[in-house]
Amino acid sequence: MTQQFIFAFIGTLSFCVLFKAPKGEIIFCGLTGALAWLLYCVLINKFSAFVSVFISVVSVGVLSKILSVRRKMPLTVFIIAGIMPFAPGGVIYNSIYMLIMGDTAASLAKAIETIKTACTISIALVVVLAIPNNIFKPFKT
Amino acid sequence: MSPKEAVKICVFAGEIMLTNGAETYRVEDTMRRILNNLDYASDTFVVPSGIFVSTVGGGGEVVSLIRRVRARSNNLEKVALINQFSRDLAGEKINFKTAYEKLESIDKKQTYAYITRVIASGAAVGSFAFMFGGGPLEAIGSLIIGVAVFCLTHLLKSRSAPNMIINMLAGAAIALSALIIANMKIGISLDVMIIASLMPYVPGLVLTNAVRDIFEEDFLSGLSRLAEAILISLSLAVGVGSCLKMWIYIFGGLLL
Repeated sequence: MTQQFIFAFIGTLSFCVLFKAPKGEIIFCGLTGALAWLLYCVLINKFSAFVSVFISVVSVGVLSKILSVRRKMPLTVFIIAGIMPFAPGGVIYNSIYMLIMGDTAASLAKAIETIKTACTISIALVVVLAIPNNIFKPFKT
Repeated sequence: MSPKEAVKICVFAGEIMLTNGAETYRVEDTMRRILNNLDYASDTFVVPSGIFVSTVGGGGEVVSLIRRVRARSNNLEKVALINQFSRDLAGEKINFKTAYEKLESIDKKQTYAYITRVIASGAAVGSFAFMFGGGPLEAIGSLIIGVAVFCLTHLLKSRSAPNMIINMLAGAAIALSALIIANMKIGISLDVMIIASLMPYVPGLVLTNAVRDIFEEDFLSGLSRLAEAILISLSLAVGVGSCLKMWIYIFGGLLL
């Protein structure tokens, strides 16, 4: 578990460098991603993948709102970092790969999984971003 | 500031945001805020490929400006800086020249050095290999592939090759090097290495943002991003697929 946390931290942090996040913020970006991934690893033992992703992304949203108020940064910087480990990049690639390899049924299954994951993440973000901002005022410096 | 100058500032700021990977609704919001802070009512309309602004000046003259946006990349720092710029405009009497110079300095801002990004791309795919259930061997393999392919795509981008060709070549290079590494030692998982090394190129975030745009009822940009996501993964899959097939034809199997 510790190993997963450390590698999620390094992975998210490095991705933020590739996305050119502001230099002062990449540590916090890495922490957002790593904490969300840790939560996902705990939840996946008990719940389905979609429930785990949903709860993890909600926590990403809350954490990002707190950080963006505290660090006076746009929300996206932390949101992108946090959902990086969950973004359905691998599945969409797999889906198209199977399509061009001629396995239409598997491709369709993967495509539906992709859409489900993307929708789960988006619904979680819509829900969490609807929380009014003044709840997070106490975190202001 | 005259309405013409205000619109110019607003469109320049919007262009910087859009070319550096900000979501369309955020660009619209920021541009509206900039014009409001300069005391002009405005209508802004942004799609992933262009910006439209129109405002009415004090004398009743209508000013509008359209900007076509082509190249797009990711630079969160510039997005954050423009955001800050738009907030700073409130209550501040700024003239056109200083505002324009400020925007130009943001636009030209250098962030991470090339070597930092090379190391980051290696570290990113290395740790993602671990997260996808690979062991140390897969992680080291992906790290090598990640660094090599990042250098390749960077070279191609600086020669302004078309995006689709870049993605196809990136896919082919990843598949080829993963095959070579997997054949050096029995038991290294080819799939984990390929998926982990593809992570910087697959459009996971693009797709998520597309669905988010659609949920925000911004259908136009949502659908165009969806098309972008499909195109990117298609070109990656063509690259990987043709390389794997060719390997099977030449060597008669995956030798695993």
